Amino acid sequence: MKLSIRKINAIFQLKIQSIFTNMSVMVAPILAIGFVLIMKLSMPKMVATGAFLLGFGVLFNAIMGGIMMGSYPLAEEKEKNTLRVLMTSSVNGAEFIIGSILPSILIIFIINIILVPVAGIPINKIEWPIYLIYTTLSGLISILIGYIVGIYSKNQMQAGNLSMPILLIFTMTPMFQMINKTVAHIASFTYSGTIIDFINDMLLKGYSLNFKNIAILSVWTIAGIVFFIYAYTKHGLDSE
Amino acid sequence: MTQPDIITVEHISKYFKNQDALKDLSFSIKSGEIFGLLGPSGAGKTTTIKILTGQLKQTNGSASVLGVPIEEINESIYEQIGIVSHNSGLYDKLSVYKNLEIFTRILNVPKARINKILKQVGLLSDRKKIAGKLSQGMRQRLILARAVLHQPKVLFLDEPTSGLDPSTQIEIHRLIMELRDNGTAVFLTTHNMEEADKLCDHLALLNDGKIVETGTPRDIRLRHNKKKQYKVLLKNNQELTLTQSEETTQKINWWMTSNELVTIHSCEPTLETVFIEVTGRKLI
Repeated sequence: MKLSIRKINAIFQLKIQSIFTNMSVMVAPILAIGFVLIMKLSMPKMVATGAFLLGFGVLFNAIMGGIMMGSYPLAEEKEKNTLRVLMTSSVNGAEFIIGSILPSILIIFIINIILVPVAGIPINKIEWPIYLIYTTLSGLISILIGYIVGIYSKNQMQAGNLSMPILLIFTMTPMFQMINKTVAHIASFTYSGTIIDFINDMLLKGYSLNFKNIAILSVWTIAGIVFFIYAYTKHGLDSE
Repeated sequence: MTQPDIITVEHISKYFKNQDALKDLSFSIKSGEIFGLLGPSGAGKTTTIKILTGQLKQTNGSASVLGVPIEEINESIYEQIGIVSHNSGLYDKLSVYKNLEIFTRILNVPKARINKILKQVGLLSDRKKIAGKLSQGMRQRLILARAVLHQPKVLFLDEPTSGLDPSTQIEIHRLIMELRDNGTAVFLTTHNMEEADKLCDHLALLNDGKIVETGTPRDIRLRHNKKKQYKVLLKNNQELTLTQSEETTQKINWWMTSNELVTIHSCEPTLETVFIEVTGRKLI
């Protein structure tokens, strides 16, 4: 499959325009900043620690936002019959996916940076390269999950119904971790659990390289790519 | 000089689970020609377009578009073809201009072409309008503009005027004929026999997935003009339908000489009549 930079750029610009004209995709990133700000101002400092606020914000932005940014726009393109138009206008699946993922990743990346000062964390407390790699990778995994949902959805309503349970499971990981040790142990193997563990370690204990975190994120990334390719090759982006 | 075939279809069949959608279709289309596939809803018109544009695989037979066998069609051929289907979508939240601008980038077309094509489809003054707020006729004209933005060699039109008002239909017909005159091969599906009669250089009547009649619209009508009849209106308001005969010739001659004849029309069948005669069903 050939890749055309011109066509990827065209899809990228289309998606940027779509984001600015359809703010529903931006709900999760905007809510991430809004909630962190509200919680910081309204909750006792003992509870709303920097780690808690940043973890909450990143989950909202990278996990919830990523899944929504993957599933809804793809389902909307199918629902409005514009995906078929793109595909019969010489854009191939890979060009569409790359051009569509880039704006979402960019938004997740920028919001993850903004969340640090919003959560009231000094900039020098963040292990920036690792923080950005981990959170962006989580965003990518979420977007891929979103795309898999989008592939199996015919319209936005179906995408919403399919993505909601997935989205809740991963976004509410920290709450599940509070239930008991067994659930906490299982949750630590999810990519969202890994992000929370990483943020807590970084801000509460001081970061040291954690191979378990790297292995879990790597496995989730590979699994995300493999399942996405499977869904794509089996059903295509817009199969009948 | 004879134009080369742009589309060739040989014995194409398509079976769905429990239905024969297309049965042994064969035809060819040259550049600068409008070929019409005329048939009622469910006859297999859209299935044919989907097969020819690589969106659906045929069960049997072979076909090629621009010399490329349809099994080998990939995205590169879409740079040379345009498609208007009855469910072609638009980016409703973007303006008319932006809707075309996206495709100038994808298809590597100069932006200057946008205003030119918008002028042709009568949407230049509406270029800043949001696509979602356009009327159905304006939407269809925008979809057509997008399909011909890159001056395709082949244009597939699936019921392009279905549900549109007569003035928009006329505008779209004018555009299609302009494209034909500029050398584009147009594959048109319709269930509107007047549209087929007016636009098509060649057409095939499709019923239950099978071509039941083919030729130029005139040839088809004349082939089925078995009872040659003439409808005349005389000065005394008398309206008569006369069958071709020696006597009829003499009568018409007399009325013309004596200036009694107001109107005279031949009564060859319409395409719809032919369709009903051949298939026993209406074009709905």
